[in-house]
Amino acid sequence: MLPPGPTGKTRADGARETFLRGPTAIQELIEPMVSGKPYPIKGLLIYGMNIFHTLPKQERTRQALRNLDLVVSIDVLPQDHIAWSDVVLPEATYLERYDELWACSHKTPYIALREPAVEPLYDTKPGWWMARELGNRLGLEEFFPWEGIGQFLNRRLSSAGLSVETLRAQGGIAIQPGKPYLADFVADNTSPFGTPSQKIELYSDALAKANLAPMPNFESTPEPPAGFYRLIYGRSPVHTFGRTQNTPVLHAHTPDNAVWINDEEAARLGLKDGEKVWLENQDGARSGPVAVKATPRIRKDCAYMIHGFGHNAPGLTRAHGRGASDTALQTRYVLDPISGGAGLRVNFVKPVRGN
Amino acid sequence: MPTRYAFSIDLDRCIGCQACVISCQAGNELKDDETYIHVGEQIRGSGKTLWGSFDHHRCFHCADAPCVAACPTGTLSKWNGLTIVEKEKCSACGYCTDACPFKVPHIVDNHVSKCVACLDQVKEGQAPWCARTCPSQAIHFGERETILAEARAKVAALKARHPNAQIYGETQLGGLGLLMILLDKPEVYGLPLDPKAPETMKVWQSVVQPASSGLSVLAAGAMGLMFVFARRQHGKERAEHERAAKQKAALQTAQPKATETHHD
Repeated sequence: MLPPGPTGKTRADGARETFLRGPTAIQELIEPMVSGKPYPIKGLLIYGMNIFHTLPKQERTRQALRNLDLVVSIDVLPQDHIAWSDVVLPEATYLERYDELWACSHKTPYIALREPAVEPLYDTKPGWWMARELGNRLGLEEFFPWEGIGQFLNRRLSSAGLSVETLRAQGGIAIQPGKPYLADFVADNTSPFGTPSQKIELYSDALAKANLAPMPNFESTPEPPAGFYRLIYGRSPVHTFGRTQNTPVLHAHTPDNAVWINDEEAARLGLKDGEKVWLENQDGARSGPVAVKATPRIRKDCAYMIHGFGHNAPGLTRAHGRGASDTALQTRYVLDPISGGAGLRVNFVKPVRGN
Repeated sequence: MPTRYAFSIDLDRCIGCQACVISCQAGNELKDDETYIHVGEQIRGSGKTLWGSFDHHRCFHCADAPCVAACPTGTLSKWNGLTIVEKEKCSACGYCTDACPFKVPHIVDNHVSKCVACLDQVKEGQAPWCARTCPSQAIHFGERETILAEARAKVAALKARHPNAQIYGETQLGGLGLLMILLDKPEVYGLPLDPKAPETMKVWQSVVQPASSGLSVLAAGAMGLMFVFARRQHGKERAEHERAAKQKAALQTAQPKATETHHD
């Protein structure tokens, strides 16, 4: 067990216990909603997150939603989890609302204004409005000492010598001088690398001190059982995660995903290109029906799918029921002991004909 | 001063992202299921020799465009090297779909559907939407001489990795308005080495159309002759009829009536 963090408290996602450090490991946060450990979590506000397509172990997610006393969902689309919510707050889309400033560092730092192009078409509100209205009703007025979003943004921008008006007048973007070269830091006598040696470290003392491997070491992982293929997933250039499958022009272009199986393997199994199958994983979880894409572009021991299909959301009238969900087949994952990230490509599937 | 415009598409740079397909739809305000461009995957070999790229199926803007020759209403025409479309003239006859050696035009909503080279944009000095959108700068547009020179330079640079790299479209059909930079021979991409208008269309154009025009002229001529003959005959008959009538009348006035019946 690792030493406690600076506040001495145990973090609900298990940081410093099951993994070293990092931002909240979202998939680990579901665990206390089911087990009550390290402490119970009874309320959940889901803001723009597609939990049934993002988090592995869907059955655990469903169990958590049943256990929670209050589930509030804020979204621009009626995604799969909306039907599980106690309260739904429909949000205006990015074209209909102001958002927090986009402040980006890296090689060419800039501050960008995000403002509406039109008034909301339907009975929806921007996230900032929801936050303030809820905050004021929960006795948190001191954290919202501003009248409208313009005042909030102007206050922030004033620290950079800008205002909403001036930023808008220069095309909505203010480019700041950056420090793209190491020489810029040397001149400052600082380092961009947050390491003890102030250099890029291939051998990490910090990890060694935490009793973790100071250099990456390959450890072999279990191979697929006979008759199964390792399920791997990726992206289509046409779709973004699980959120665009219902967008009309993109749906018209790519309405479904397919499961890529090596063409020689497909021939051996008697599967034809385009034939519909169900996918069943090592724990009996199923998703489908989905078309087979028999192709030489994939290894013989893998099956590949584009992520984000197989929606179970009648409100997504175009996307509902189209294709298969890779997430539904991710009933296991491996937790990275350093970052808390989830390794999802450890599930194995076999194609099944019929229902 | 008329320009000869052309596109080029570099299949080494194309990443198959489909942005050109979608931006074309948006820029031309097409319905979601109508596209002027199709970008598909293209695989060759297997195992260690497996490689792939993307190929584009879209109007080649041929100089000697068979679709323009086939179009009976003037919907399709050439403008500064580009094969443009005036939708309102289209009768949806579909001759263009038969004429195109690349099977590009379709009939959608009772008119021909194919790349229009974003004519409104080009006339304002802008490149078509596909060229402006392509994130890997695979699609270029401009004066054909410049585009061709750039394409030749690219092919020269590609030969090290792809010995069969070549430009498709330099001379075909009078020179294509879309120069495709291929990584291999045209047959690998299913492209005809020497695209032509279909033989049936040539027969249609050089035999059937003139013959039927000829026949129409003959028919008109025949009808004209018939009219002349018929009128002459009718004139004769009428003259004959008048003469007979006069004779009869003359006979009647010369002789008293044999019987006169007086009715009160």
